[in-house]
Amino acid sequence: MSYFQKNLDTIIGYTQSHFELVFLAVFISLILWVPIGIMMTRNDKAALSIMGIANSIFCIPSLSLFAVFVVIPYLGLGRRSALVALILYSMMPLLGNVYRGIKLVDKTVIEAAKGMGMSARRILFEIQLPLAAPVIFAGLRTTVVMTTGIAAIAPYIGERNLGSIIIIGLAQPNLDMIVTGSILISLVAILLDTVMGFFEKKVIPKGIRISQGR
Amino acid sequence: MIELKNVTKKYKGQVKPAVQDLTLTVQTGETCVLLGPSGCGKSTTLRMINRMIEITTGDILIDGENIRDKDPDKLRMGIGYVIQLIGLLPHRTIAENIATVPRLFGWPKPKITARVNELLELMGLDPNTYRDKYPAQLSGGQLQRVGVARALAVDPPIMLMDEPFGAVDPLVRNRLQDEFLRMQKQMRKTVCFVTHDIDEAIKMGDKIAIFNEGKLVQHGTPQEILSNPANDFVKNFVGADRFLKKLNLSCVADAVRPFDNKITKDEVKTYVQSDMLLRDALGVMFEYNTDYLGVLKGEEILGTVSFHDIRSLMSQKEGE
Repeated sequence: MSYFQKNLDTIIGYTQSHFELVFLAVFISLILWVPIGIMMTRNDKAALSIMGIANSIFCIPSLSLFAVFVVIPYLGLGRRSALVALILYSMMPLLGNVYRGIKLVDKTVIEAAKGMGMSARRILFEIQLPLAAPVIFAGLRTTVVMTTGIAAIAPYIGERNLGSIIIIGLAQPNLDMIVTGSILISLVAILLDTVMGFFEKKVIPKGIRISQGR
Repeated sequence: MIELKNVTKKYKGQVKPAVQDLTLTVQTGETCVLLGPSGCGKSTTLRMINRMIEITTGDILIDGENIRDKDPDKLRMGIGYVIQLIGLLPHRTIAENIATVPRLFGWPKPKITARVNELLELMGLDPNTYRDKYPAQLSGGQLQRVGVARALAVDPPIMLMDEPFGAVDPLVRNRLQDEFLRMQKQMRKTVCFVTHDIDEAIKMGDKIAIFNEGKLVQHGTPQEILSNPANDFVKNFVGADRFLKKLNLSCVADAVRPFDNKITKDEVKTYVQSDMLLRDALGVMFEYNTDYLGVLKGEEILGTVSFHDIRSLMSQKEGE
């Protein structure tokens, strides 16, 4: 623990930077993937190919994906490449769950709503999204935890965050640093997941919680 | 009044139309049952009336106005729609579910609350108990009642019902049918009612339209269809016991006559109420092993009904 005590300022800086990267990546992913996921529900053919792409990207090892963007001009070494990679990784859990969540909404509910004269827009916002909320939120939670973990690899391409502690620790080697870095990243992931769990209760409509016996 | 004129529906990639050259008129205040085996086009027909399915060729007029000229959402807001699986919104309370269409019309809140309570009471559901419950907390029969209440919310002149009581057990179904008939007596809505159950059709329909393979085979009163089936398909569909089914269309009051010298009060072993269906009256005759029943209206003795009278009433109607 001596590393922790001696380098508190550095650690706080790394933690801050880690949060920043995760927050930015998740925020941009939400803005990007949620609307695309909604649009996909209206075109099954396109949905199939887009999900194929998302799955393929998800299969690429994170170090390779980071490395690929480094060679692209404008992205280069540092945060931009890391962001692009993280956003692409979140395509699978986030886009996928938005699409599946909406598709899983009971068809008879939609049929009845349409039959009562609700517009497609109202059906989306008042029925499909609230009913898909548990699945979408599960995707978001996965995205946040996953992004926290993969962000730790980003120091290899010039980003500085909690991952740096582990990477430097491995290179020296310094067991104290490795352990400290690992614990801190895990704590950040657990903390974020707990906060998300708290929000989940607020987002998911009461009627759904009752029908699921929660 | 709903008028279907030469309506045809052909789905993409299918050679045979789902509905072929259908012409049918449903009068205002009338319940028309669309009856037939699955895949006969009855549901498609119903769903074309509120444009859930678009017509391929032909026209549907509601009170003289072509539905093609109307905005589909606006059209649907003015038509009550009940489906077999109800489709209540699981994340909304019972009150919110019933308030769906009033909300679309932008009714003020107090008016919506009052209407929701009125409808819950009409459906025999105590508003205080059920208003704030969620669909998952209600039984099948209760959900079906809420489905009907929701369709009635803005008091639309037309109701489209697609096997509305198909998913509940026979006992509950019977009760729901009776309740709806009682309400319909006062409301006099124009109702299109889809079912594959001949008994339900006879019970609910002022008119029955029998479909087979996308075509209208016969359209008439239950009496006409049971008495004079248009062809072998109808004959088979209504069943070999169609004469017995006719007993469901008349009650004891239709066959009663006063006591005379031939049949005296002493010969009667038991009494039945005048509003009993003839079928049930026959059952009572079998039970008591008698040809004669006394008929009561409340406490008052109306006369008697005999096995012979019922028989001749049935065969007489056969000739109509």
